Amino acid sequence: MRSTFTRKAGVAAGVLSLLALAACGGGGSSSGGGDSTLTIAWTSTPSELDQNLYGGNPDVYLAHAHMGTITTYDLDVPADEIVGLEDIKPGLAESWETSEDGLTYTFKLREGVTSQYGNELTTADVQYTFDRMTSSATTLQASISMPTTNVDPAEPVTVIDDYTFSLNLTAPSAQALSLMAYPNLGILDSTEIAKHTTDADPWAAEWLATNSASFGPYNITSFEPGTEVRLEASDTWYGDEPDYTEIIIRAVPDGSSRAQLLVSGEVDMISEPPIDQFDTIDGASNASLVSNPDVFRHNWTFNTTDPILSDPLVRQALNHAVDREALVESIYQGRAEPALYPQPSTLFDDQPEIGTYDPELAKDLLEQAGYADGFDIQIAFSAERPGPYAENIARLIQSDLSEIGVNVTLNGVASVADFQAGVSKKQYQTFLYTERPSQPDIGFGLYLYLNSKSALNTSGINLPRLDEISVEVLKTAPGPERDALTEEGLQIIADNVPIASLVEMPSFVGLSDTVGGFKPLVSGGFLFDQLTSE
Amino acid sequence: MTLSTTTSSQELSRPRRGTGALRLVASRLVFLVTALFGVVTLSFLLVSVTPGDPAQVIAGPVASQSQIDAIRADLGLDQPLLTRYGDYIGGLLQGDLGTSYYTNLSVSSEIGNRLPASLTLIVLSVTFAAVVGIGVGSAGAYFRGRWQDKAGRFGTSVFQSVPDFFLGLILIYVVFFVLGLAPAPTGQIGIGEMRPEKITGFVTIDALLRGEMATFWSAVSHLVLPVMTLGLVYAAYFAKTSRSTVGKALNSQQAQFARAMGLPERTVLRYSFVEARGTIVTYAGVIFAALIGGEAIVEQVFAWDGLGSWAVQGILRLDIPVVQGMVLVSGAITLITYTVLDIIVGLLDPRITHG
Repeated sequence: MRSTFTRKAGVAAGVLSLLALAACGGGGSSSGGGDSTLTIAWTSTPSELDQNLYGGNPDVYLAHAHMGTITTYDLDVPADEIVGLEDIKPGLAESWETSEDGLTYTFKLREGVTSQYGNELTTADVQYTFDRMTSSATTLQASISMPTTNVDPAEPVTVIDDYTFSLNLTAPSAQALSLMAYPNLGILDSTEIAKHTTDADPWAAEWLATNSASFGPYNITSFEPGTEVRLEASDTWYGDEPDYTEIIIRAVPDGSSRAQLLVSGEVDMISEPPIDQFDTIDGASNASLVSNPDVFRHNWTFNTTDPILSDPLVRQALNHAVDREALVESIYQGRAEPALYPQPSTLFDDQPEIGTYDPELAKDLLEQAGYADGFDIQIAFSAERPGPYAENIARLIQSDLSEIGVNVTLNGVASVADFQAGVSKKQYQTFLYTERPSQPDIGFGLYLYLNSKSALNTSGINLPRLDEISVEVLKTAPGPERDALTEEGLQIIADNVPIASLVEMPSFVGLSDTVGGFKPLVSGGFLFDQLTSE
Repeated sequence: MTLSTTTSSQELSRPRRGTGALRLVASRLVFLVTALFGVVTLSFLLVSVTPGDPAQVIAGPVASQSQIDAIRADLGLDQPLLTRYGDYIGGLLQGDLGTSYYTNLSVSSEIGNRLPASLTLIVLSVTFAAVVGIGVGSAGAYFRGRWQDKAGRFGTSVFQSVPDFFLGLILIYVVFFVLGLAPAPTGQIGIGEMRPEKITGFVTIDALLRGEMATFWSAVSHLVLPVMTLGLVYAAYFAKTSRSTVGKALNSQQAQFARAMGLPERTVLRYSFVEARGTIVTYAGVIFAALIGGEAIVEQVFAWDGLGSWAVQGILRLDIPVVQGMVLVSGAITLITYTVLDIIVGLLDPRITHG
């Protein structure tokens, strides 16, 4: 009897001591820093800091904090609008002039701006930054950002004096000022970096993988690759002193854990709140789900080189067969918007409506195309993109298409690398994908995803007139002429439907009620120095 | 006649008992070195012949064929397999596992930074699982058919059928989110706390050595939920094995003879446990080896910056040096574990030593 009691007491004591031990860690306690510390949980944090390497969105998000850019975004825009091409203001450059032909932007740098290492910003830093970005043709800047902005590859920038330089274009571009605000084109402190170069590593890639040398609002104080980044407000920042003097960003891959961290007050902000946690966050007394308009879309892309899908009528039919409202209500819990237009609705008004659900029209179109009895197609998908619910989306499309006699088989691809390689090589007949142009410009999206010469043209669409338009739009200043060209391009897309956009996703972030001043950028990131402590 | 033969055999073997143990250790160590070489070769070959082109993945969709070829040459992927193997072995002998294709970071230092976190989690989880599992299993064997046994079997069935990551999510929700008894799942320490300066790489030990007691207790408390998660799931396996092996030992002729001799029940139980320990220790070793890299999802759930989650990212991105490093480390740890296991079990049970 006594021994039984002892055993029970022992077990109880064991469990209690474990929980007591756990409680020592301060469950539910507030974040470790003071009021001026901002704590953030992201799905992942960068595994390196070099702007020449692109490891995913977190690289760009973090660069907004520690990289200083020539221009910057003006967040003073209405809540229901995105920060667009015209919302640009001086950054490291205090002013600029544009040549009459639109080919030269002459920037005047602020004087007296120093990096955390005490080195003053000069045009030598700008020249070095562009030299380094273009030292490899495969950097994101050299391969996408600069070509789509018509930056002269032979001489992107010209130093005029210590504080004046020009950005040289081969054709006018509506994106030039926006490009200079993109954080991956932040200016490096060339004096500091020179101390870390070697014969084998002339661009100090090894040092810059774990160190930062720029002129941004925050300096990185500690960096654990893929795990945690800590930043402190820079004493040498040219702008107003940020509200938050310290920022701690921790990688928390699990979505439900991130949501619980926010709701329990452990962190002030979380990225990519999972859809199934939206209600939990909405119901919290201390935090909210903040939604903002974006250019992010989840797509069903057709391989237009496929024998069946090369017929525009077939693609139109499939596009009309998908019930987007049902998709939004079931999988996206009503939080997304059906994508009814050729391009994101936030980028251009008055687009032709092509995504209406009309199975009867779909059947008619199939009959016109000679497929009255339907056919078999495959949908490939990866849980990485658009997300863990990719298979559910594919199954709903499968169900919708069975209504018009099209038999769908699903192909879930486990490896992200394999899936990406399959998309690039156009191995899939159709596939689920996402698009989020890094510049808030319809011309950028038209060229990037639909020009036959663009490597990101995943559908393989090759329409000479659309190619011409997408190039011309990039060279044309905003105004009636550009709008007319754009409208013509949109109509061509509507007639050909290379991509069936399924939903337009707003930007979602889980935010503590104590954080203000949040406005997302089309990069998916935000300006850390503009956040306010409420 | 039989007795005489046995005696004679024991007499013959007695003088060689000490050398037999040494011979066992020596032979196992020789095997270990040979097997490690095999693991190195196999890890190189397996990863090298895996479908997929790392140069294409690194270059991204916008790269031209000449740019992809340049990256391939830069990485040495255009060299013959044998040359690459020679370079790989040469680097290994200098402790160089290469650098990640994506981050330019040394794989050796990444492993060095992350291995302590995984080892801490796995060692404590296996220890927790062994203590709880053997306790429950032995109680079930002793009280076979009674309520203690039924309760133990019920618990065993439940935890055996629950995926470890799911149990982790449930524990986080209940113990952290609802009850507020555990710290947040933010990795090895709280989100606002600083790691102690590195000495050994083990956060708890470094915090102790540097006298940072608040960090030490925080690190210990952050271990509780992930250790319980892995520990409870694997305790179920220990319990099942213990119940059957201890139960068998309790019903053995030796146990019946001990009872007939009037030995106390506690002594009989101890003898039975000694009889069963070889199997249980072997099981502990197997679970330990399986968890190296096998606990990746639990690491992700608890934001644990260990080897598993890092390796998964490397695998998904086709980062060959990372994958090779992970295969090598997990293979080496598995082999070392099995070697140590062989030696321990051999020393515990002389019949195996001489077998």
